[in-house]
Amino acid sequence: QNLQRPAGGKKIYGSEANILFLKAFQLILKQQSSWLIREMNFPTEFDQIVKLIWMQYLKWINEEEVRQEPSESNSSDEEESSAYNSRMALGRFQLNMLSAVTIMYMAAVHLGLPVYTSDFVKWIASARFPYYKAIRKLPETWREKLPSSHLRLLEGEKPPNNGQIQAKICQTCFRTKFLKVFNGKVICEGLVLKLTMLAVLPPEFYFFTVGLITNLDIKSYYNLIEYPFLKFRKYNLWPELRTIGFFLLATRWLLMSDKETYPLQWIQSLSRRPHGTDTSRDATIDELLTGISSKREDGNVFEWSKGETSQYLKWIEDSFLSIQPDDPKMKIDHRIAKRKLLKIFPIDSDTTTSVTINADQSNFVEQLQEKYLYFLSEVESHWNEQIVEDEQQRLTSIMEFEKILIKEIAIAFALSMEQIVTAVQEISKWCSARSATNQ
Amino acid sequence: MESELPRKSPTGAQLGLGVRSAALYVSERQQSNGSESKWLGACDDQLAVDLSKLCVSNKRCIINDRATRTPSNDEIDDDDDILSSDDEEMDEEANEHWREVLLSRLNWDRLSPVIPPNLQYFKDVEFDDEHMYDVKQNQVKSPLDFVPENLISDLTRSDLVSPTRNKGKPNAKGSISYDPAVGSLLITGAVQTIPDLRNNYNQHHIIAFSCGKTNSILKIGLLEYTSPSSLTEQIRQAASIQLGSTIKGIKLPEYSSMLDRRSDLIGVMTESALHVIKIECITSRMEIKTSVCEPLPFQDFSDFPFADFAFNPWDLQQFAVIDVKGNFGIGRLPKSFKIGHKARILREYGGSIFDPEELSNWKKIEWSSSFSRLLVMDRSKMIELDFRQDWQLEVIQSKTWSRLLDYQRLDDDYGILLTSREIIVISTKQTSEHISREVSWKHDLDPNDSTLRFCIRKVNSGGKKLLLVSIFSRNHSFLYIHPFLMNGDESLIQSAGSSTILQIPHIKNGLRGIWLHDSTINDLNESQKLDIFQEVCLSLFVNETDGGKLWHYIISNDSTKLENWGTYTDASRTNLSDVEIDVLWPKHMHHKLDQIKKSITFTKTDKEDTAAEDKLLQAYGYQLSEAINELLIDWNDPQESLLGTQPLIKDLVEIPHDFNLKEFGSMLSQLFNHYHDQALVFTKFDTISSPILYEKIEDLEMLYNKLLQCWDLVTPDSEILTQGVIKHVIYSCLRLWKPSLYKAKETQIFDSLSKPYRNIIGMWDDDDTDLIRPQTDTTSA
Amino acid sequence: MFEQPVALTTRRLRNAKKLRYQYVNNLSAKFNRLERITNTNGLPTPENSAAESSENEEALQRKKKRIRRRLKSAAGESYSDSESDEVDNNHDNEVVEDEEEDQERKFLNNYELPQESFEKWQDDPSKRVPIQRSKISFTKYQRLRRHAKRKMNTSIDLASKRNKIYMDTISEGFEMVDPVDGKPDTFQMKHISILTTLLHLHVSRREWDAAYTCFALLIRVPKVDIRNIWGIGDLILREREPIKSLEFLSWMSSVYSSRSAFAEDVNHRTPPVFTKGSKTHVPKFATTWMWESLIQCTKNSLETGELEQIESNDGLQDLIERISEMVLAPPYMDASEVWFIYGLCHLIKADILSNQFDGRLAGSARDIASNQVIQHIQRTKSCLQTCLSKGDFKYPKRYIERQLEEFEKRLDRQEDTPDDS
Ligand SMILES: [Mg+2]
Repeated sequence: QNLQRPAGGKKIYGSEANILFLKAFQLILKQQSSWLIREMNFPTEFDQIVKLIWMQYLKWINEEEVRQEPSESNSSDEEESSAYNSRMALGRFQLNMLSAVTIMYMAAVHLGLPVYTSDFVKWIASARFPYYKAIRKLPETWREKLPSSHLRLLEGEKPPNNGQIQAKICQTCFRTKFLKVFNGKVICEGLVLKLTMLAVLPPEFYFFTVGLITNLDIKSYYNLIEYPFLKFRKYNLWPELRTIGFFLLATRWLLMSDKETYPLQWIQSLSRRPHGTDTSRDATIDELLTGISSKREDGNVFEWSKGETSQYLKWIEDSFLSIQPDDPKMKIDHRIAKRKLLKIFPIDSDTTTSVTINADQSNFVEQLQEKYLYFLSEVESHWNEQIVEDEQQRLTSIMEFEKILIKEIAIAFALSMEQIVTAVQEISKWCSARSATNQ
Repeated sequence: MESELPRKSPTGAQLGLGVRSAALYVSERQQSNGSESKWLGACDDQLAVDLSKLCVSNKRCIINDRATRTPSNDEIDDDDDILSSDDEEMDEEANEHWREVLLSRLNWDRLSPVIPPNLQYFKDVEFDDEHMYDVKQNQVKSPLDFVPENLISDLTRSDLVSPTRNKGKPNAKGSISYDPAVGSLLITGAVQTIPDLRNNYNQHHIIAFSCGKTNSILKIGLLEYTSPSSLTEQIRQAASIQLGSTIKGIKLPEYSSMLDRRSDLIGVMTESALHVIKIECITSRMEIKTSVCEPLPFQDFSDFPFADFAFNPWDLQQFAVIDVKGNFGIGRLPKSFKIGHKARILREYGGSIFDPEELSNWKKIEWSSSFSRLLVMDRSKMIELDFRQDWQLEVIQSKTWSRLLDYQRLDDDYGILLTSREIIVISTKQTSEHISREVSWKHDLDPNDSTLRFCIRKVNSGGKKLLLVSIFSRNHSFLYIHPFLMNGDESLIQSAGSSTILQIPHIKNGLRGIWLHDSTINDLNESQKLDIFQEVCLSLFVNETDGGKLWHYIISNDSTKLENWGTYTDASRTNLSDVEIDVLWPKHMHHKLDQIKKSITFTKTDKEDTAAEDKLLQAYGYQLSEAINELLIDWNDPQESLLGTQPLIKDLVEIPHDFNLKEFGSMLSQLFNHYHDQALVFTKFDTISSPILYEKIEDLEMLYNKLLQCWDLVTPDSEILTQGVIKHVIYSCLRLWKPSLYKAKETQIFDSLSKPYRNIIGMWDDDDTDLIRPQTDTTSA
Repeated sequence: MFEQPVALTTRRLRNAKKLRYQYVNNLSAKFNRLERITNTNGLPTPENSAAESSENEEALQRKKKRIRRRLKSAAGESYSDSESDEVDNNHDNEVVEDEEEDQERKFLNNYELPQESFEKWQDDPSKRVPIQRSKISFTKYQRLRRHAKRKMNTSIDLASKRNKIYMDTISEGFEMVDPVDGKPDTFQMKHISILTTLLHLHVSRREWDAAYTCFALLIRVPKVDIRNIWGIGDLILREREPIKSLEFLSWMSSVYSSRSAFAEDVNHRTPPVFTKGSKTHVPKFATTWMWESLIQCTKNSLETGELEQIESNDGLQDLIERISEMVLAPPYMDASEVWFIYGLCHLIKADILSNQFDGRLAGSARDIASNQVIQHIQRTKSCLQTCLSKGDFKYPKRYIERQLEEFEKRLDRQEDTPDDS
């Protein structure tokens, strides 16, 4: 009924399609790992580890297949049922772009690189890492052959959210027998440093967090978890979330205990840090993009400053548009018409480039300095405000700050606020139990 | 003459951003005053008031704190959805696909079990789960708060249908439903009591809203205040009436201009009945005395709860009701509100617009162009009917591209209809045969958002009347304001310029209801008020979707006015308490914390002399290489697990404290080079720096300096601490490994795979540059 | 928050829609059956039978038309129409596509898809019927519901969790807070949505440069359909460089005008009011182009001063010529609004010429000049006459007539009248 439908017959189905799918998936894995080696200075052996983990996954698929086989001999319509089964098999693979990311993550854990989910979240959100529209990278002949149900799994349409990465890591670990074969220790030092920088806190918070973990937890590192399903709900056992939980508690307790070093004004300045009282600091493009991919609404667009808006538009022009695939169905006369339209609306480079954009990665340290500077100026401008320290108000301010932190961490690590809160509660309980027995 | 703009019928002028419609050429005009436009159209861009300057006050005051906390559903989204079933979210698309496959299969080849002829079965017992029929007599007596908290919060939301009822997970976005039959729960307006009329007094402005834990209490307060604090004070004194059932809508009758008076009634629709309240008098001490008519339960009218009601603008005693399925009728109020006197339904005038295709409970009834004509509507049609002449006509049918979302009667001549696509000014002039489209404005708001509603405010502006249509939604906290302009005698109505979007500060979860009110009523004198000053100053009352609180803001195009308008309580902080965190100290934690603090301070010890340090470093280097050599011997045997094949350097030999970073770095580099020949690989410094600072830094000293620049600002002991952190992190990442071990493992796994999978893996090392054709970017032409 | 200019959908959304239409269709089928039973017992209510028979007839006729149209469009006549409606995430539309459509189509087949507005508006008093008196009772409604639900048990069982909640909600008469029928929540949609919001925001703040950038970027995103946002683009151009605004509108008209009939069953996803044209519907961008051109012409003539040479009015002459060609064929031929614009063109021309009329002229030169004015006045009258004959247009007749009389009077000026400029 649709005239534009491409001539049929090219598509392949059944197990043949599944094999091609696995090949395509493998190709994407390769591209991701070479991106990490190229852009993020990962060691060259990283590629080898990715390959090993992928082989382990294939081994699991292989074994699954053997296990399924005997049960399906009594089918009447052979061709139908085999096509059906191959579909079911594809469903059982549970391979999608998120799985690819988990394999990258696990390979990094194996080699002990200080890379955490927040990094992947950021790379995905800014569309630099081959995730979104990754099928674009596949050979065209493959794309033509693969059925849409297969291709859709490689689209990477939705950015991960609500701890999906963590849940998927558990599953991939289970299937690759990760802890048996590989090194699954997640080193928390790097993560705590990243959290300290994210929260724009002084370095003593780093030490205090690490100290809390080494003193109160069983181990100073956490192993990845193997779990067959995606339902793992003991959030506080996820290595990263456990570290985050300790960090939040350490921050809370340190602020609560030391009134001299951290007076009320200081804490309140911490809360004002993201959105200052009068002149707020512009968010970096990475912060903007991570925020966007974590939210459903685009409400805060209304609060963007001019600088933030032009940064974003620049990103659209440079990055977003360049990964947009061409519409193959477009007819030639439509193409010509479209070209004419774009001529009527040329991209005005004056308006977009007039604002200098610091989307450049190398500026991370400068941006970080700016944040600390901004925080400092907030502290100084409020330092002389004489506030009567009242215990309740102090607690409220600390809680307020913690809430802001939770929100920021939730966005950065693609977790939900509820997951973090639950984890913090559990760890707090754990801490009080441990500190009681340690007496 | 000018009022008769060229137009197409029945569509009228269809305007939108950048869209023109028929206009009239004015040839003589330019001779008299050259500046004026030569065109007279349905759209007038020249506005006396610049609406793009409209602002909402950042400060607000709370009018009534119901103080019931409800869990936020911000951010926690469909968390459960994702984790409760395998890959639900990511593979949802795929799952839909499998479902379809299954479905098609089921249709193809029906499951038909052979039923034995002697099969005995019980008739299916169905429990009645008809919620629509539930009568909610859910009044909670105020002093007895023994009702479970979650039940109360559930009831407080009143129109948010609890998702648990829908078998769904709580808080999951995309699973929150609401009752569309719930209308305004907050109104303001003018009333004139009988004593006022007798004494020739001016009208009083009042505010009426629902409150209480189950939303079943009606509060009526005077709205004649001089500052926000006096407003709060007045509201506190408001008369309150217990209605015993959740309130679903409040309305003030608006009488026809022919009658030239205000009403003294307030109509309130609850889950179970229609209540009419009469304001008997307002005393000089600002007390409001009321009497209540005996409620009209919906059972007296039909089988279904009421969805909407309206008062007849031409007949003070007549009202119309409609229930959720479209049965409507006309009723009469008793002459006096004494006990025993009750409103009654006039049986001879009832009818129904029931439509099996229309599922939504949203229904609306309003008077049209004369005392016997009504407009009755549901989401997909509007019917005009004359109950005396006994005819009806489906004037609007919207089954396809739009849905009706809201309708309000403006005055005797106009009404405004909001659809999912447009704001339509409808003429209800008595002279025309039927209602007709005058001007419409395509608002471009999300056409799938069914929660859109609006409120209107008429503002005088330079001899003309400005009509502000403000659209709001439960899905966000923005007001979309579109202005229409009426000329002096209200015979011509135009769209005025483009719309303005206002964000209402501090509100996160959308707007359940808003109401605009002239905030300058205290120094009022209606006619001359805003003519001279080209300014708009409105009071905005907001009913949040979740909080159950009422907020008062000021909207004005004069920013100084916003700041100077009395002292305002900035209540923004209270809003943050949506996630509860317990803040108690765990037992024994104080002690533990002191321990940890002490353990940290040891890193703060000061420097040594360099000679001793060199020696220490040398000794360390020696120990380390020895340990590595040992390791290499171990690694000669094939490894079953790769678990221990990338040990941490700090685990091999403990690293002494207090190294100079630079020295340490160069020592390690030497060591790395040494083992390079033996095919050992060490973690490079830039591999560590890249993911942490997003820079390729090979020099540890540099890394230190970069971090120091940040922390120098915020801590007194920055140097020691920064050095400590760097070492800590570097030590935790430095590893060594031997790639050949990985190769061996690879062969081992490869052998265990079956052939198709071996083939796949075989492709890994293929050069894929020729496989992937270079991408051509035609998009950025 | 704003409507997004793309026509993407997902399986889940389509399935939700399918469920809804299936349920609704079941309800109304059962309802009609019940009505017929009661009607055979008692006397048929006049309203019912009248509505039903006329509706059936209409539906039948429409169906016939549709078949004819479909044949036509299959011959490849309408290129701009058929494609954007089927844009989809799918790379190949494998299974049951048609089946899915069925329920929605079955529903829509009972209704006319209006082209002129989003809703069908009726103001013909002859369509009045007596008030529908019989109320729906709880028991009857409950019967309908049970029946409708039972008939689609399997589809509901197999529906996804979100769609189940959706079905539960709407069958209770409630609505979803979150727009369920909304757009998919993908990376691409998020950014399109943010660009759209930024666009509207900057337009509402009258920040035209930023708005322009948003628009220019947005139309470069594949699958963004310019027809959904052309008005905003035009507005932005009008504020920045008015000449280009006309260029853009005429580009729209040349690319997206269609002379084929409106194919109802193909196009049920995009309302044509503001987005497209057909044999019977002049697209809004075409009329806007005409208005814009005309308004600019008059602006120019006002700015350059009345008494300059005729050359300055060339734009107007061009416009008159273009419209005169357009009205030779449908849909312009039958559009009252176009004839009204055409008439106004001549009226303005007459205004300008009569103002320029030099009273000192005499003899044949005077005759030529005055004839020119008279000719335009005549043309104005005949255009407006055609406009009125279409029966769906109103304008202040007396007012325009008085203007024309005024122009004619100017021709009586004698040479002795002093020139005031
Ligand atoms: Mg149809």
